[in-house]
Amino acid sequence: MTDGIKHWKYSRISSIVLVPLTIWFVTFFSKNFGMPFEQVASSLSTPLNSLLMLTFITATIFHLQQGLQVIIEDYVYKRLWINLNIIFCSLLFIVSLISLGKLVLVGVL
Amino acid sequence: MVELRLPKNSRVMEGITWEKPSDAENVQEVRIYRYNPEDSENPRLDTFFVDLDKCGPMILDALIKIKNEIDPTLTFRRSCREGICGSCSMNIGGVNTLACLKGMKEFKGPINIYPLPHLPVIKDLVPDLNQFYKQHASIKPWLETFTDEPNEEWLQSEEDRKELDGLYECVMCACCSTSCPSYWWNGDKYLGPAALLHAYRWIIDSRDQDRKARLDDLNDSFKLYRCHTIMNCAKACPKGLNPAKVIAEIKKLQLQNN
Repeated sequence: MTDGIKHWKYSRISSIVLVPLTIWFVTFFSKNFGMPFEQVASSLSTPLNSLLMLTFITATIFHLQQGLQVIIEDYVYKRLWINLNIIFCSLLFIVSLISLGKLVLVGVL
Repeated sequence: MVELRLPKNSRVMEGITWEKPSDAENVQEVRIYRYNPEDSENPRLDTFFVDLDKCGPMILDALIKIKNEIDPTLTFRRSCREGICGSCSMNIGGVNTLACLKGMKEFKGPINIYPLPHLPVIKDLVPDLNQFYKQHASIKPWLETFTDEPNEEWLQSEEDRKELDGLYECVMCACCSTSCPSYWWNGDKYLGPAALLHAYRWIIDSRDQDRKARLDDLNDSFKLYRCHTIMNCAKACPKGLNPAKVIAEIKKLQLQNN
């Protein structure tokens, strides 16, 4: 395990980026909570909202992967768990992307 | 790797309770961790009673009195008895500190004394510090220079010398490193607060010419970045130093360097 400064820097950058994004997400989510599917899809498919959502998902999952890796290094330190964590977060990212893409498309069409 | 319980043969048992001094009025109860590698028994907690009217004020005075008058087999490190040598570091009342700097009056009730946490115990209060010293050696604790040697000393301005305040006072007692959970779990790979404080002492020294290599060497997710600013080190340091702040300074320098 080398290059600690990169990991340290990226987890800080992603956390700073997440501060405004999380505020936006909570506002967006509470506005749309309980609304019909079509309405949620259409409000999400505006260029600004879909871009913000994409950035939010990317930053969150990246930050999650970085954070979990630190915990694994602290308490278990097995290469296997670090790799499983990367696979888990990548799958989460792919599933989120597909869902977001579907929602945005439904909103547009 | 995290360890939540001691191994079976390291669990502490009830030990011997030594007789109270019969004529004493002012008695302090002291419980001390005992372990003898030469028998196959588990460590135990012995109870001693010290007559405070016939004893110096510090924990170390009580330990010396116990060794002289009650049980000569009690084993602990000590030398200067004034906080300069860093030998008598141990866990007193749940806090890592130097026995010579800790007054008995600071405690109410029995005082529990254990060796420094999460190190192999050699005997009683003497832990094995080999790994700790190896880590100190690994940061090259000496002046690295490449230019020709000056005719006299390597000179330094008063301002540059001031940078070393809060660093050079470290006596390598290991109180900080052994109070750090990150060091408990990853003490083989993480250098620990003491070694990192010494690393910074040489990084920041204006006379040292190997700063970049020193910083590059620490750019490792285990050597340096296991520090999660838990701050136990700063709380434990009997000399009042702040290794956690120093580690943050190293991270800042690395950020500039990359």
